[in-house]
Amino acid sequence: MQKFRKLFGFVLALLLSVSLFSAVVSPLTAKADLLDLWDLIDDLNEDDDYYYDDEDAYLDSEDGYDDEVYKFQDTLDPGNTTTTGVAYQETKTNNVSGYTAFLYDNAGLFAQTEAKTLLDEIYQYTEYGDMVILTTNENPYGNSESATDQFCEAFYQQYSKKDNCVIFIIDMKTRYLLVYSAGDVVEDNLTASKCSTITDNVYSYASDKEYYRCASEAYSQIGKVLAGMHIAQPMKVVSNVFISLVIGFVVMYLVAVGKSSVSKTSDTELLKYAAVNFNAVNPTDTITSTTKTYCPRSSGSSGGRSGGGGGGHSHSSGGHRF
Amino acid sequence: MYACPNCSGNLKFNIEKQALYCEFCNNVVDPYSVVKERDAEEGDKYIKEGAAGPVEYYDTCPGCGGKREGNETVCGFCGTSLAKPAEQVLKEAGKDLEDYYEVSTFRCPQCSGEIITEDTEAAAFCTFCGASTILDRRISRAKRPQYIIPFKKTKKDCMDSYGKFMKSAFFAPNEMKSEKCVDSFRGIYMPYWNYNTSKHGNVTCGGSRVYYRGDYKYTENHALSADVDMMYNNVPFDASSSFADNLSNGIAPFDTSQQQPFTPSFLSGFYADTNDVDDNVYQIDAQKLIAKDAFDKYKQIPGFGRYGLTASDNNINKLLPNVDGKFLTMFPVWFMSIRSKDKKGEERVSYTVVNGQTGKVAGDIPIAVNKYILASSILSVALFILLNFVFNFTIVPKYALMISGVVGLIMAAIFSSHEDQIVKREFGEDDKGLVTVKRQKDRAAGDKASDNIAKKEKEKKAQMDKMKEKSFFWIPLGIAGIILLIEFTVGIVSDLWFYLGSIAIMAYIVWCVIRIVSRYNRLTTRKLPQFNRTGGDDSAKVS
Ligand SMILES: [Zn+2]
Ligand SMILES: [Zn+2]
Ligand SMILES: [Zn+2]
Repeated sequence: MQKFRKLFGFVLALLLSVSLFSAVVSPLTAKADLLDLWDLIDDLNEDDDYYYDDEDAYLDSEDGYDDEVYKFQDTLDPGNTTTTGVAYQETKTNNVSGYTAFLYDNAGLFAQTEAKTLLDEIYQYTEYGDMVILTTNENPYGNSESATDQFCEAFYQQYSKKDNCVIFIIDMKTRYLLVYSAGDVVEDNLTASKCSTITDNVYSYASDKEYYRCASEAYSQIGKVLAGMHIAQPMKVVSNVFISLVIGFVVMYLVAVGKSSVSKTSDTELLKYAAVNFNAVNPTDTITSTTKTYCPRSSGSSGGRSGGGGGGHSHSSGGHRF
Repeated sequence: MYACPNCSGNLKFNIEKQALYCEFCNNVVDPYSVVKERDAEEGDKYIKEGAAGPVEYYDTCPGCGGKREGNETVCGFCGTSLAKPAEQVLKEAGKDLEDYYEVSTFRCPQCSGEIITEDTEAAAFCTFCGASTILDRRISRAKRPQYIIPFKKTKKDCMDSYGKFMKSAFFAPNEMKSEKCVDSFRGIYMPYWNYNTSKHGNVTCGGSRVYYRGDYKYTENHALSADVDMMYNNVPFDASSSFADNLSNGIAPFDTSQQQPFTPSFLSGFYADTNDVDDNVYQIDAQKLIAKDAFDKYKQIPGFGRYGLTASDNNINKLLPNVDGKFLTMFPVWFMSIRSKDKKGEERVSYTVVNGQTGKVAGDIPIAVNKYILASSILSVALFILLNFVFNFTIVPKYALMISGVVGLIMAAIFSSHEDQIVKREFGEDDKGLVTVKRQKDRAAGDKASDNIAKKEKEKKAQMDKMKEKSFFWIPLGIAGIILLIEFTVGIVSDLWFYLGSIAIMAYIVWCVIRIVSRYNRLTTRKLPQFNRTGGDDSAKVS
């Protein structure tokens, strides 16, 4: 019985640590894959001032677009949609603010009438910035959650590039919902945590294939946030209550134990009043052995991809799988 | 008692005057100048019953030659006491009578703890178990210490230090701050073994240096040696098994440069603990402590520092000193014991001690659970306001679950290690002196067969395991594990489950912390001590 319990505990501990490890490591490995790709390109082009940066890869390529950007364009091209649904792309520009509402339903998730309604809905918010609804079946950046973020980034650089932009994307390839916000005005309100809250609130519609309702509800919450209103965050409050309780009780425990436990007297203190006399003479230093191991400190080609390049900009995003 | 040369009043050691003082005629007397007057009749009456160490008995009556039956303490034929006089016991053990001095010994009828004094007045309570009873008195002989550090801090100083100490301990229960409790401090001289050590000769330690040249890494091993001439004198370790190691460590150090040659009159008006730990019990600890310190000095020899000498056991042991001498010293300690009842109604005792020379305080301070919960709740509310409204904090449900799962496991681990500590203390396993005394007693009790001892150890381990409370660590593991397992194998789990799971785990964490705090108080109180000093026969009967 005792043994069984120990085994059970061990298996569970293993599971927990493996899942935690994969959660922490998977975004990193996704990045690492890209690095390998760049290394490959680096080696092919021996030209050293040709470099890529994480977010702005396609901007820095000298001949305009690299393969990835072509792929990105292909993805957005309505003629290339691979679903049975009808791809739909339409924009509507607000003449007063100069911002545009985009509806790029490349995955064909909305009916024609739904798409029109959605465009009208998001057009209301163009006073704050560009408003985008994006759906896709393809993502050239891979299958990870960060790929969806990169896709949005690419779209932003390609089509919007405005100081304020909000993108809501339903990525059917990565099965990930994301609210992406760029620009000062928008970002101040639509913080990363708000973005996650919104996707948390609507992801279940996407899971139920109610994409129209999902996008519509997402934008109605985005609109509320942009207008400075509060959106319902019941789980946020409940989890914050518990997080506060945990931190409060654990911290106070440490304080209480620290206050009431007998503090240990250090070894130096213990010997403070001992009569001590320490003399050392004739110090000698002899080398007894030396070992030599091959240990290359740098691996060949240096330079190449260094930082800088391309106008970096900040953005917030938060998403949810569905 | 020590009589005043002027008025024959009772002379007591006065801390402010650092001399014997007669409160009747204000006479001040040098402690070394007085000799104890013994009431001859009283002395004869008790001396026969006392002994240094356990009471030993004659097998044949010294009065009539009759044989001792069973556990008789007086002869069944003529009524003569069968207890050997202290002198007799010491003589038989081959000890020098000069090494011992005569004292009044008080024994607590409840815990058998013994305390010695120069006074003849009856002590009204026991310092070890906190019992208020008249202690049994007898005359016996105690090993004479070489030195004594007389009390420098008066009871008032001690109470002031304690007051300051308790002010910062705001989780302490209010009873501990009460007048009555503070007044019960008692001045006790605690026996310490002092070690004089030295080491002369060549010491060689191994170091290494790493450097890179080109694409190669070079590791150079060095032998660093020096002729060491070191001396560490007056390194004290407490010699009483009734004085917990963590407390004696907590009020250390004592300034041994103020120690004076011992004379019994210093004890007048105070008490002294009987030393019952052999001088070699703490010897290796003293040697290790010294070796560590010496190693730090060794590392600072010019040129040695850059070779990264590590404080490994191997290196430290090279500086282990020889013990040239050890002597017994009495150190002054203000001692307070408080009895309390735990939830199950079992009586417990907790100790607070104050260094009688420096005023340093160390104590078993329980955490009042109600105060703790109140303070934690206030902190939690403040944190909630900060998190929710100021930082607008949102946590992704998946991470909430993982983080709470990990924190939950950490709490479970803390809980188990607490339990280990508690059980160790309950069984007195955390005091080296106590463990040694117990082992000697076991041996004396006749457990010579080794399988018998092994069996006893096993029984004890089972008892210890039984006493440990369960951490229920599988609660956070199970919840987080199952949800994450489903998430990673089957697929999407609703957020609600993540949230519910993490909330359940966080509830577990709070529950666990509260349990830890209330169990923590097991660590600050101790089981009532049982000294069992009555001698071989009786302890054999008990075990
Ligand atoms: Zn007098
Ligand atoms: Zn007899
Ligand atoms: Zn007692």
